[in-house]
Amino acid sequence: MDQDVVLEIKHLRTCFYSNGKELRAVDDLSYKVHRGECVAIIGESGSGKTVSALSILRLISYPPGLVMGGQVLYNGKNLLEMSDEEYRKIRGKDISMIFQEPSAALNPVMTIGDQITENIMLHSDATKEEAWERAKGLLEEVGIPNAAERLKQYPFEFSGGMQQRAMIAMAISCDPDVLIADEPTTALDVTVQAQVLECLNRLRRDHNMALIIITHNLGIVARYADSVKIMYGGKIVEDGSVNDVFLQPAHPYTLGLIRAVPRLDLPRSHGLQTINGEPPDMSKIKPNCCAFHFRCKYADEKCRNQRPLLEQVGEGHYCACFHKEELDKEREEVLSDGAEA
Amino acid sequence: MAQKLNFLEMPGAPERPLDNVLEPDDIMYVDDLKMHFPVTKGLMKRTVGVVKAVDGVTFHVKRGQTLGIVGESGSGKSTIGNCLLKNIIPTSGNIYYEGNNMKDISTHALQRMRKDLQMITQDPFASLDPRKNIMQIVSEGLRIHKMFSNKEEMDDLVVRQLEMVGINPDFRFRYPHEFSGGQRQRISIARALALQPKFIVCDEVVSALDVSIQAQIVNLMMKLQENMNLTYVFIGHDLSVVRYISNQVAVLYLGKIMELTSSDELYDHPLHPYTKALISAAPIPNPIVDRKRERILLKGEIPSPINPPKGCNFCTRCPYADQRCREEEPEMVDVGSNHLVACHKVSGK
Amino acid sequence: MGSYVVKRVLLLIPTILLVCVITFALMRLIPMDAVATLQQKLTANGQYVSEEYVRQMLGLDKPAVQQFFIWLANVLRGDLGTSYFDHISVNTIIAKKLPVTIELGILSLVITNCISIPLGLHCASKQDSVSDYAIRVISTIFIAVPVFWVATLVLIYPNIWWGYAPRVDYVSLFQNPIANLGMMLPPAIISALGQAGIQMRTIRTMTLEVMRQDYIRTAWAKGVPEKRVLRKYAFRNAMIPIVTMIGGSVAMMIGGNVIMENIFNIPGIGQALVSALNARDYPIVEGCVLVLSLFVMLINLVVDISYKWIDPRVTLE
Repeated sequence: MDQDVVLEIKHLRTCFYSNGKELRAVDDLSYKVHRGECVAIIGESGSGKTVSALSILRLISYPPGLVMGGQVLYNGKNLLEMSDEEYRKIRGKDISMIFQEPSAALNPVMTIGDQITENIMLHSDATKEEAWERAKGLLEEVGIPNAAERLKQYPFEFSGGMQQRAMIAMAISCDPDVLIADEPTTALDVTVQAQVLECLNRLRRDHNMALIIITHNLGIVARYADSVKIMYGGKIVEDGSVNDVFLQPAHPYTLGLIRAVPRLDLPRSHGLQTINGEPPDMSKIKPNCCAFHFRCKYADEKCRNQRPLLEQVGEGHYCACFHKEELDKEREEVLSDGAEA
Repeated sequence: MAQKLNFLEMPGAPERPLDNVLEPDDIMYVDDLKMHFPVTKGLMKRTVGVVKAVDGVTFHVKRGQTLGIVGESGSGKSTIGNCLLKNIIPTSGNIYYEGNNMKDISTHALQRMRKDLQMITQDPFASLDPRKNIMQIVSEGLRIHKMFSNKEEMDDLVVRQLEMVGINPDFRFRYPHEFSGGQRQRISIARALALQPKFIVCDEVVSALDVSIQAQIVNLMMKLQENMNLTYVFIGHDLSVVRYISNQVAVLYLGKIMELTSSDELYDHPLHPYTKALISAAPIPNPIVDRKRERILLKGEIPSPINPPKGCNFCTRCPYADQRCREEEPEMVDVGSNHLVACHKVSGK
Repeated sequence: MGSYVVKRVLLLIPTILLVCVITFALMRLIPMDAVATLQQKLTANGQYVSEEYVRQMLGLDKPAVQQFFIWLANVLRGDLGTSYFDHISVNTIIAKKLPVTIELGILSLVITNCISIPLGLHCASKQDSVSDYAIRVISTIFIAVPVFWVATLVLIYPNIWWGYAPRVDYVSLFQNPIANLGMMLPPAIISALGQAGIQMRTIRTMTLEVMRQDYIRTAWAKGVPEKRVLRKYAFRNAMIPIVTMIGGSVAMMIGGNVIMENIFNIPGIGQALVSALNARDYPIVEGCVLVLSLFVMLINLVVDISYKWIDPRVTLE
């Protein structure tokens, strides 16, 4: 089982410094990614989900950000200790990434073909012609018709959905082991979103590559993910398989999130539960507390003064909360509501 | 009809039209609304085409209810919202508010009518003036419409508004940048509600917010609607949010309504292939339920509204399209129990 | 593209016409004209003529509007007129002096860009480092100090210290390149320094702005080496505002070089313009202004067309 792990993140900690203040954007983050697995990282704004991904790729620029500690092990090698030159050869080849806003993430003055072939030629001995041929195949693979002509076009000549497909083509051009997708479809229309996600998922299976999806959209996670990490205030508060997390949520935040999303399949009368308060202001959270205590109805003195650690609540299911028993009770009540028809 | 407004009794106001079409609980009736924007080119501003942003849309809005308008980019949903408030003058078609044609309302009367018709927009960052404090922002409309007699009264009104939307009134002298996105959206709501409006167009009000905040705002809006008997037109791209808040939902595609029916009916019995695809594209946050659902993936992307396809607007992406769909535009047909749909395949005629 | 150029060239005509009218009018609004001077000169040479005769000879007795149209008609025939004093045709003067001015302009432009582009990119990539600060401080000094002052210092101090004086008698580049460059380089460098300071700062700001864009992050995520990120991603995108600025600085430089030509005694259009202005030699002034403004406008046209080449999103309409 464990030799299937392609990426392992251990105690990753990323801080931002401004005005002499330290802000822990990612605090003691650990998780494993297996070959071909789809891992989803769910979080709201300020949860540190994007920063955690950028830290893996060492794309945090200093100032103001700095990866303060931890390890990112790719095939057993610590990426954080490599030289820039060594790591450059891994980026875009073994681990690649696509971003939220495809129109901003593509270089506006280079043709799509040049951008894809650049990646291929950087990481292999392919000649220009071979790379171009391969780029054509990739565009076809991600579902862009007239690939040969499209390669010669510039990003502004592509629609949003097509731009994101081109991004994907570029990201998978060197057959990476891990693809990180940061809110890959947030900027796209609903029907196009479905097409792009379906395409990503197909590529994941065809290439047996691990996919880390960073998103706030619970529906996407429920549809595609194998394992789910819920982030809040820079920490993982719940970690488990998609069924565990969605059907047996163990953390009050997870349960709150699930009940806060309007569901198409339930009648309007079903109602929407809310989580009180606002997303956390990271500069105000002490390190030794549960970041969720400001908004949690179970919060007590202990939650305010001690940081809960991830503890096993089931097979491969972890949760960081001092009030699991109370939540178990609440969950029983909610689930007997008939919500899980 | 509820109370008649004085501006409607002004000379030149039409006598009550369309008694046969208007339903008794209509607050607004939109009849064949079209909004075409010319595309110009060159120095001489030659017209080289038209963007048919809204192309013949008809619907009723019932008093105290919510009409949801759901559509993707380019569907013309925001344009409809702007037409309803007369922010832009439609190319053709009529909008009747309280039974009176908005076309015939004078600028002066419109000024007073603005009090009744309010709008809340997507971006709470852009819609609040960063140089004004919350007090000034919320009281601005009150001042324009002279809704208080002295300063204490104004202060009182603002405090009450802020309490109603869940903002601590002690913060009323702070500036917008000191609030989070969700709080700013609450402030926009307070500003709109301060004028005691009857009708609010909500354009993507929760799209920019986090999931947990989105639920707070949606619940707040529904509570306020009940308390103040407000009428909403709720515009959005997220079918599940729109359906949740709306009594009726209109599905918009390239400036035309594809399907219009009650919110629960729309999910339980979607008829139009586009509605079906939209529903299928919105995943349900439950892995067991979602992975059992039928998936419909549409081909291609939304065509440009400059050159909409001939026939049915949806024919280029519809899996069932045939020759007739490509030539003849389908009409809105009531297939029973107020379920309107514009599709040859469904109406079967 | 072709029709765009034609349209732009047609638009040049009213602009040039306006420039001509303004120059023409301004010249005649300055007190004194060439008549008295010329009469004195002729008298000194033994030709006793009246002022009226001289005025008639120069055509200055006619109403100004009529003078303008006569001049314009001649210009359209390709004749810019003749100098009042030495009877050389203005065409000849410009043909002789324009290459000198252009050489000086190109030299300072090349030097400006050779300094500002590498330094600007360096400062952007090493933002807030010691070298970044140092370069920015030095550039501020060059921006702040007036060029004619630096020019004067360059003329005086090397002479006092080492007995070095810049060459003052002009030789053409083709006759003696080394002597020519020895004369042209000091003024070119001096006028380039101030411009390079401004340009370097803009390049730095623009590149930094571009460095914050998402596509730069994409480039890093692809494993593109730093040099290539700077060149292919940052600089290419920052070029768009930079080219606008370079286009503007060409115009600035022609203005600035008028001073340089006078200080360093370089026989370019600037020098001819200033001496003609002092002598009220109308045809030379009008001819030089016409040629210089035409030159600046053509540069602007070239800049606008080059957008298309730099930024594929631009459509020339």
